Amino acid sequence: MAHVELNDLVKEFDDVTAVDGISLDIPDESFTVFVGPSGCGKTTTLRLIAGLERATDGEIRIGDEVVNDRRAYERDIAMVFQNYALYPHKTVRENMRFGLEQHDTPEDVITERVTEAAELLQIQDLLERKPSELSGGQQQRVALGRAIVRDPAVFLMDEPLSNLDAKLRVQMRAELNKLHEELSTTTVYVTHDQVEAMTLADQIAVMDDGQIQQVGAPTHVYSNPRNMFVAGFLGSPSMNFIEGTLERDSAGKLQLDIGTETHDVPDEFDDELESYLGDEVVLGIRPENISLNQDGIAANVHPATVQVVEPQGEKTVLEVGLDTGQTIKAAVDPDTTVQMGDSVNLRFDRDSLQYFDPQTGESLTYESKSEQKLTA
Amino acid sequence: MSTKQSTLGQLIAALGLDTENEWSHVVRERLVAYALLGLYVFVIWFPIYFIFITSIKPTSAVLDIPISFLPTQPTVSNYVEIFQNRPFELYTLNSLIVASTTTVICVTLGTVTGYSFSRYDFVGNKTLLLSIVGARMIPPIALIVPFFSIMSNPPLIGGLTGSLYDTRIALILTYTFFNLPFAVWIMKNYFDGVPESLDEQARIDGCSRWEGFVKIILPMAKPGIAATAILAFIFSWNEFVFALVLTSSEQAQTLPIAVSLFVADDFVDWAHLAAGGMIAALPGILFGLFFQQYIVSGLTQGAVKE
Repeated sequence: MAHVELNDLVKEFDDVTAVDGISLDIPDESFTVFVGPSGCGKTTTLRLIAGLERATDGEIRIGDEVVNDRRAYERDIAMVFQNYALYPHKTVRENMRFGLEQHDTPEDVITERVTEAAELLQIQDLLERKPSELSGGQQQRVALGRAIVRDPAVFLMDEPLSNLDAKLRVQMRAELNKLHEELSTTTVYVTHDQVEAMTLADQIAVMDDGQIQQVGAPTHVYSNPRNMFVAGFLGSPSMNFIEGTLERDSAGKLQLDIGTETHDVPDEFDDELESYLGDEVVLGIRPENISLNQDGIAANVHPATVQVVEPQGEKTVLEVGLDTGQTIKAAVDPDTTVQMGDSVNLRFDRDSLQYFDPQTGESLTYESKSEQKLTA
Repeated sequence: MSTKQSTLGQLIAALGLDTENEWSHVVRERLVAYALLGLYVFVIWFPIYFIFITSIKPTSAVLDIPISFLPTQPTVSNYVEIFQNRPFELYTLNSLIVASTTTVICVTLGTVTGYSFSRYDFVGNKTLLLSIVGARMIPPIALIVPFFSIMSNPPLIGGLTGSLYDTRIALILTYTFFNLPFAVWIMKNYFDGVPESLDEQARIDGCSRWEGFVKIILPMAKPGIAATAILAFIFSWNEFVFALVLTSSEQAQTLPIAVSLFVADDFVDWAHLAAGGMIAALPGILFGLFFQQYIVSGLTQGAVKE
């Protein structure tokens, strides 16, 4: 087991910079998830750690050693590929043994490890089969088994669940969690699925455009996004953004003019937002932090018209049109009786409001919210 | 009659057909299809059958009228005589050596080259691949004179002298020239169908690139290799025109040439020609029968996404 350290890592392909100077500390025994849209550089980063690509610049450390010039098999890593990459002409047992045989592991150790891993993953009955005779879920287990028998310092997983159907994916996700609990091997995991990222990670690294946008515990990153990209990427349905002009009302309180109405800015953000007085500011609010207000208009309650009702079981997602003309989403109680065309009053939860600079996309309230969290 | 009709009625019902009309329409379509297929099979196999029949007829009976299409006095004397009167064992040996050596060279070089083109992104690889495969597009007839000239006066390398004319080497080099582009093309396409993550997994498992190629990728490419081998072998075994021009004696002449030697200016030795023809045709027929599955899967690999 080992920690992994990336220092100013750069990878260029011809004119394209896939990884643009990222630095990250992946603690020993952690489960770190790289998440981001396609082409954000997350898989390239994983392949750089694996030794399947050579870094253009920067440093990769596994344990205390710089491994930039080491070949893949000298890095003490095991990888699980998106398509599993099982050797089709070998049986499950031979697939699991191959890596150990290549490393001249003694026969008794190989047998013991294969048996143990097969038991752990409940694939004892499949050992003599060829990969083509297995279901997707079983192939997935074999790929994991092949990684486990190596007993590597680091597991690298490249979207390992994306080829499974929805139900199996949820099941395997839980098993991966359990497996990590049991083995405690440092794991670096790549996915574009934010639910996977949130449920599996101790540490989540949101990537875009070859750069890490934010790193932290999943819940922290979710509730305190550093910029609009992170805010919009995590969460489904994603965060609503409402643009407005910051001004002071007659009582001297900050408020956001969002067109036909105004939105009161909570007092604690006075310091951060003051310099934006008279400028455009983006208000961010997650759909689940919007509720239907029964008591009529009050502070930060906005009238709106329901356009679409999407019952999703545990919640109902409403697409509502504000009086300003903008459409936003609200996730409300599934028992709601509102229907298309109804007029409703939306209440924005004041503790969940975020403010962003529309030019840079940076959060204006990140520092203050992080502090609040720490003091709390 | 009535039982027959009701049985037919049941059958019609069982097949889910509405009326007898529809039934007879289906039968007619089937009959036409089978008749056409039968005709095709006949056209393909009749010449082979006829040569076989001729090869086991006594020499005196070959030109009998009416022609007999069934063996009346079967004999193996023609087969024995061609080995006794002519060096047919040498011709066969030449054919075997030329065809197998060409096959080994084409499969070996084709596999390694195909893999490189499939996996390595080096400068000019597309142009190189096109020019290799493009060389095969030149009609062979246009190359007979240059090949004759080169083989008769090969460029002197390392002080070697002498002509390659009338040697097996000349044929092996020529056939390799014609088959290698195919081999590279087939193998490149085959490897394109093998996910690159398998190479990468092999590297993570502790293989060098060469080891990964030999231990993981190559065993998966068996159908492609089989297809390449069969095509190269059959081409070299059957080739006639270049063998005719580049060889002149039994030290290099192959079976197709040997068979053609039964045709003299004013006389054709049909019985012996048929026996020689059967020997020459045998490997092709056997290969075709046993390995046709590999040819198909080898040539269509990567055509559809699985």
